Amino acid sequence: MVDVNLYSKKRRVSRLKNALILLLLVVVLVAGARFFASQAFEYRLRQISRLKGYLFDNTGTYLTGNLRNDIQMIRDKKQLYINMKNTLSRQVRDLRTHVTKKTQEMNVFRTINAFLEDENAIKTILTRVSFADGKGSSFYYLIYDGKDVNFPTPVTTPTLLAYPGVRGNMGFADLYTLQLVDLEVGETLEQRQ
Amino acid sequence: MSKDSERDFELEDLEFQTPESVSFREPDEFFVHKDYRNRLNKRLTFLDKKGVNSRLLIILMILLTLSSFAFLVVMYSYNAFKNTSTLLTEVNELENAFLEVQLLTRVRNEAIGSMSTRSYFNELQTLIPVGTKPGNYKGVTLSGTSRDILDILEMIINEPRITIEKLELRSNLGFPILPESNLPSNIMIELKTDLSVTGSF
Repeated sequence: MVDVNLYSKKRRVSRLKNALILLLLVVVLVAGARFFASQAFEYRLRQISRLKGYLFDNTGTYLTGNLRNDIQMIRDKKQLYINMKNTLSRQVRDLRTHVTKKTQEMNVFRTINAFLEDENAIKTILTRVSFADGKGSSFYYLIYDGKDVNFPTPVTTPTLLAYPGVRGNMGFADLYTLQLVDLEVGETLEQRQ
Repeated sequence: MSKDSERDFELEDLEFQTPESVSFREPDEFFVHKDYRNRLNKRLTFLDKKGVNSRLLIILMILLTLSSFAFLVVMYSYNAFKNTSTLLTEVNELENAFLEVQLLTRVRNEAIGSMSTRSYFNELQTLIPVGTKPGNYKGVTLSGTSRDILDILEMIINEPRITIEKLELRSNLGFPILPESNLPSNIMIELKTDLSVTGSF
């Protein structure tokens, strides 16, 4: 009987065909995984595009699918809108400052007018009005019928704090009484103290 | 019959499909199973003849699989995920900026629209020396009857584009009458004011 050696080094050698098949399997596996990954991200991108459709329509942008380019495009557009926002914020702030100042000014004159239309006096004689730095003052006379005089009482509720100062009363033959008033408007109690 | 002659006899009984094409030389010393013989008889191509070391192949395949998977799938997914997250962040920030712009635009337009409808600046320009150019107009002086000056003062106060920096209203006499007067008309009221015209609208 011939002695046959079943152990051969050739058993550890894979044929090139098998190696190529294995390589193909690896390539298919990796390509498939890559395909599924890319599909997942493309789906996410489509989802974003759909969810933010109104934004892209209003800003004139659209996603191309190239993430780097899309990011840069969105970043540029965002910067444009941030600049617009800063400009608008400045305009709105200026407008608000202007409106606040104008409102204060109007309230000063509205309050002076309320005091000039005194509810007890039969006539008002205005001598001087001045206004500066959001504060106003007026110097006027109130004419009362008879001898009875009152402290200056505005016909409507003053919008601002006002400090009427009565300088004196003068009677005219028991027919009229003249009251001299110095009014300050627009100054708060804290400022006065 | 000897043992050698028996083996020869068995070998002769084996059936070969194409004995002529067999390149494998019939050995006299050992037995070859017919299935294996068929396999040996198959035509070998280049891919069948060549081979690589199995251990080397396995190591190479593992390395190739890991490296290609890491490069083509893991790194791609990481980059795509990072870019998608960045894109989403940028889109959200763009949305916030867009909404703020919309809101501010609406606020500004409503404020300007509201004030513009109440403005009679053009009419006022014919009465007082102020221009359309934004800025301060100092030393604006007017004089006239009490009713005229009062009307102009009321227009200045109610004009949204103008703010009063400083104002002084007095008469040429020590005893003017405003707003109504029964005194002779030679009493003139003098209005001195510093005005500011806004460029906001």
